[in-house]
Amino acid sequence: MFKSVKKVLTIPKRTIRLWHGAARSSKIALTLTILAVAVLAILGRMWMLTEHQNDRAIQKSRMQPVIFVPGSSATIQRFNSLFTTLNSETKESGTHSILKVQVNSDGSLSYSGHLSSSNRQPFIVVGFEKNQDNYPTIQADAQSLGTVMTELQSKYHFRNFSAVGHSNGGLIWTDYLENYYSSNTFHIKTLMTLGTPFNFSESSTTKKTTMLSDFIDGSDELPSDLTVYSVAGSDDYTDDGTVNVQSVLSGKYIFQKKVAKYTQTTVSGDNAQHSKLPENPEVVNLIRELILDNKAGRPGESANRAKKATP
Amino acid sequence: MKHNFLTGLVDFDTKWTEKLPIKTLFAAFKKVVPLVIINVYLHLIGKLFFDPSAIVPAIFHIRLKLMFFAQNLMLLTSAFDYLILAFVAALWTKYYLEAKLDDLGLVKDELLPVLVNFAIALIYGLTTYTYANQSAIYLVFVLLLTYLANLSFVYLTKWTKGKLADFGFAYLFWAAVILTIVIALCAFIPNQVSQSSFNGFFSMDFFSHWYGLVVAAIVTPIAFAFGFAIPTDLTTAATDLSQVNANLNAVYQAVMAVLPYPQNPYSVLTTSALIGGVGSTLALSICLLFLKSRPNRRLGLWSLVPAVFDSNKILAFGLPLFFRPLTLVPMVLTSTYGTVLTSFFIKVGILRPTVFTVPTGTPHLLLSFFASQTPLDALLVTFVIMLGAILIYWPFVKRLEQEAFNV
Repeated sequence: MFKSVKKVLTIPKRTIRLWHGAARSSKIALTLTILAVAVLAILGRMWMLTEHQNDRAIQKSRMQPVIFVPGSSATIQRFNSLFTTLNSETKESGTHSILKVQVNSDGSLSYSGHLSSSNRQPFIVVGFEKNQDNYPTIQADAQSLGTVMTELQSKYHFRNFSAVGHSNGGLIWTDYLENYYSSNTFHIKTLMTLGTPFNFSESSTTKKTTMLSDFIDGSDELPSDLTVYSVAGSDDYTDDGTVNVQSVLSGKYIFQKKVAKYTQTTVSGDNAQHSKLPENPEVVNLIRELILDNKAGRPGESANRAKKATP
Repeated sequence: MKHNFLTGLVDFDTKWTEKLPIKTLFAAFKKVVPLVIINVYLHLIGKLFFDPSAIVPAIFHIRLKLMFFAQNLMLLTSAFDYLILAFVAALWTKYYLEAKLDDLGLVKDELLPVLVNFAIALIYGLTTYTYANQSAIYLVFVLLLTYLANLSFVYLTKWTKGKLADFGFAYLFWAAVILTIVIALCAFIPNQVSQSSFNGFFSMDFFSHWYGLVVAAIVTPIAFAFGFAIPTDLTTAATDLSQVNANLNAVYQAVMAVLPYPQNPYSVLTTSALIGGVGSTLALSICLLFLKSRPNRRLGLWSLVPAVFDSNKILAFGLPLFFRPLTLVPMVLTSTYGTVLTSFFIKVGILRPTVFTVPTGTPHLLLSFFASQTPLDALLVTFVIMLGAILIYWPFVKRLEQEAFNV
């Protein structure tokens, strides 16, 4: 017993002797590594402290923005008319503040407008300068959307949000949700797609485009508690003037049984053409009832209302 | 008693490593070490600089606009992992068959079995490779198939008394049968296994108690030494275990809240049993630096920085750590020691557990300092764990050096 204690007591002495006897390269490598770890520890700890405060603010935030993404060839002004209509109805209870973010071709971001911290459901529009109507652009825009979301979260500290995508904007949201969304950092409650061609211009449901096949393959990554509304416009019973209704309805192959709730709706009337869908009175009603009031959680209610819009 | 145990273990280790399959396998491992070093450093660059949530850009507030380059680098380094495996299989086949056929007095060209076993590793790679599972390689699967292929080749050659032509129909048929079986087997590997994520399993209540964690701490190095991929739920700092999420929610509600799962795989195993990789091998790298044998010291130098960032691949192939009793015992001991110590400090309330998630590439060495609510206590506990791990490894490392000198 005494021998063991004595042996333990000699450890420091033996360690010093070992250090002196060690090769020069070993001593240099170990010293440099310890110094590098110390620097990393100090800087990392400082970073973590600011990050925790940020995380805590995000977790406690009551802000639940509605984030709109326009389609191909559309600018961040696409939803102006919709916002005017919605804000004119809520003047008394406070209008929704509007922030517009444009992702420029070089990846830089341009901001216009502002978000009011007193707003619970402000509007954010994320538009892309590079917005051609093809799959690689949609993939690139989805990746950029990931960057924008991270930046928006670090600026405005929100976790919950709802999303609206017009035309290809719905495709960008779908790609984003499958590939870049993390439930650790965000919580999306509702996604509404307006005239989104999930199978591009293909009208046959048996012919799946690469994009649709990719979306179906990646659908396991979709948040399981998400509520999705896919709204199609019908101008002449087959399309909305641009997008085929069958292509919009192909969304069921992606979302059905993968998300908590998936509802398909077709709207018609004066403003049911593709580019005017965001202004269509039925669509405005759907956004008001399903996104802004967010009654989707009440069983039976939202689904019935959505069905009423079906002609 | 300690001396007797060590001597017995060294004897067993010597006998074990002298067995032909093991001896030739270790020779193959050592041959690929330069490739492994390149592979490990490429992984390290990707992990520290180019990962979307890498630690260096995060803490230095820099944004690298090299997404295309970064993605390709990561894809290529992941494919490189399988290439190394294929080289090991090919080299092992060459060394093993050369020696075995020589023992049997048969002369055969080993090129066909070498190519077949190279192909086995590549088939495994092609069927299981995805960007996400870069660390989930089951070495045991490929080595087992390689060994069985080698045995069947030896038996065929022995049975036909070496009369078959080297690239004749019989051997080609043998190659076709082997490859068909391998393709069929690879098709049956479940996705969950090839992705090596067992979130539901490690979220079980069993792993929220010290005994569950000790079992995991013992099993993990054993599984690693036998060539099994370690579940990413234990190795990653960005874990999605339900215990971690519950703790995080509690802390965000009230800063010093009572945590529902203070002891969990993240706060105990990842934080203290995997410093430097499975078996706390950072301590092993440090020990190697102080050896007199130059090859071992060089191995220590090459493996030191990757070990800080929890990669022990250089040691795993260089010493090796796979299938080696002499390194397995201290790996199990350090892993268990770290787990017991951290569990104890958390239980008695001295230490607030690791609760926050950290950027990709954060060394487990600094994990508790970054992500615990008592960072200085956590740093002290990590220091004690490291010190203990070095003391555990030292006698084994000395024996390892002696054994190398004797050879």
